[in-house]
Amino acid sequence: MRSLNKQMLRMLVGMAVFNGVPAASADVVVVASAASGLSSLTPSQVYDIFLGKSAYLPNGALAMPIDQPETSSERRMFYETYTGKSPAQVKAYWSKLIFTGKGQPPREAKGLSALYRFMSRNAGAIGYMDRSEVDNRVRIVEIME
Amino acid sequence: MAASEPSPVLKKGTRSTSVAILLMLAQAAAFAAPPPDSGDADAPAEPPAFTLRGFGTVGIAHSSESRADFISTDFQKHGTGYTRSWSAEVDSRIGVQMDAALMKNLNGVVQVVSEQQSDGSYRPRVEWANVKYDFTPDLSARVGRFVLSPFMASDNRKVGYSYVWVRPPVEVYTMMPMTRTNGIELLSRSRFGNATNNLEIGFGGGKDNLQQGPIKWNDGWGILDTLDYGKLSFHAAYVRTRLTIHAYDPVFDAYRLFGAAGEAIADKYDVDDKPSSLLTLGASYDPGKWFAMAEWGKIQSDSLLGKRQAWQMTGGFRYGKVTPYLTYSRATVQSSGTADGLPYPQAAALNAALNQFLFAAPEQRTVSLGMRTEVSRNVAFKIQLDRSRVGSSSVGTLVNTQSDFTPGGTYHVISATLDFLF
Repeated sequence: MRSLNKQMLRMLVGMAVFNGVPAASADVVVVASAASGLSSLTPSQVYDIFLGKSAYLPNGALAMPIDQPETSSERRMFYETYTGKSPAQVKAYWSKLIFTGKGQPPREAKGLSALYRFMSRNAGAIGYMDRSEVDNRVRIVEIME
Repeated sequence: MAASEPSPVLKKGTRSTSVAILLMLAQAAAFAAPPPDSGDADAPAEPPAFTLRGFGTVGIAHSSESRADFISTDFQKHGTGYTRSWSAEVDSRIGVQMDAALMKNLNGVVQVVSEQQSDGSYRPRVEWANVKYDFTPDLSARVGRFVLSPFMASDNRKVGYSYVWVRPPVEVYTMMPMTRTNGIELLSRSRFGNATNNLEIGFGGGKDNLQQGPIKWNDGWGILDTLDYGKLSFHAAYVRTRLTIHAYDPVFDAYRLFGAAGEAIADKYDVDDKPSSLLTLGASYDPGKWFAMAEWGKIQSDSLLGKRQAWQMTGGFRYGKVTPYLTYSRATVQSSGTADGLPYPQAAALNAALNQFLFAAPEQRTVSLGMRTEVSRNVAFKIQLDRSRVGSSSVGTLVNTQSDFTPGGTYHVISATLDFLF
């Protein structure tokens, strides 16, 4: 059932990309550690944190962005929505920073359990997941202009 | 092991040093802790943690100008056109990088690259070897070998995967060919609302081997700034150094034998510890579905290198995995392309040599049409067609020009590359 959902998500993303419609309406939500007290971010703050342009959360805590696995549809949708970049574009972006010694991409969680663990252990953690997978270890961050 | 030495013994020595460094890297990687960006992603990785990564390009290029060589950097011995009709040596290279989290806030990086050099060899060289200390997440210093990036892709020019072209436009990117410098740099980031400003101030020097011989740059410094505002980015830089290229020395040494008038010519044109500067401006806009960028640079040297300008504009569209793009780039020379020399018959050969040097200054304009395709994760395929017109009194960016080469002509270069990360 879950893999079927994922396939459908992928199809939807594919269609959205093909039609030039942003995939923003999908149910991938930005999440923070439950302990962080972070309730909202602007789209450009999300952009800057995940592309390494900003090291801090608005409350002054050190931001610790974490990615889903590279092949996950959540990751693809998240970056399409908040950066307008495809996985390959994001990779090209980071290859410039990595190989000039100027930056390191967000950590990557191997799976959901690793993601939950990271979120619950780091107050500055910020990630994204399917809305259906949100539980009390994380809090949904509202994205407001 | 910065530059190859004339002694064959030393050459052998540098080669084995490179191999030793590669072996060290490989061993360190084998014993290394999981890289910080993978593994279980629990709490922040405890140093020391090592990450080994690499990049590379396999390319082939053909030039229609058979009386000269087209090369992609001034550090290559030969290219396509005269030496080979089709050459894999213009764009192919491989690089390996080790990142080490040494202590809290202290990171090291070593990058070794193998590509065609001015002696035709592929001896791996240490491109980067520096340690970076983060005073805060927004203020860092790095010491060692790195490179300043006066143009928007100067520092990542070897990583084909990171940009859209087959190679950065040669008119612009051969203006300051150096790819590494030994020194110290301060990197500072500040935020103004939604804008991020990155300021870099660096000092250093270095040496390398150009096609025509060794090049040295001493007492170099630079101030570089990049302002990012979402999808919009501005870049400006000023770098200054004292430049030495000894290949021209025999001619100027001979001029000096002619007394005061000869000395004056030598002092004006030689490239011996001569103040040289580069000023650049650039901007890019990348909303995702399409992108546009433009950059301009002006070099000024109290030597035969004179005053030159170059600029390029690139735009493209992204259709899923395919990115067609168009680039226009142009290099012009503002200083005089000829010199009177000395009015003595004995100096005729010298005057001819001096004018030959000035003649080699690149005047060229190129239209490039290309396409980048994402083949699979970490692999991109590119094809590019360049149509270049050489200035009427110049050889353009071509080298190894033969006696029957005629300036003012048009040539085409067709290239295909596979760029990959690992």
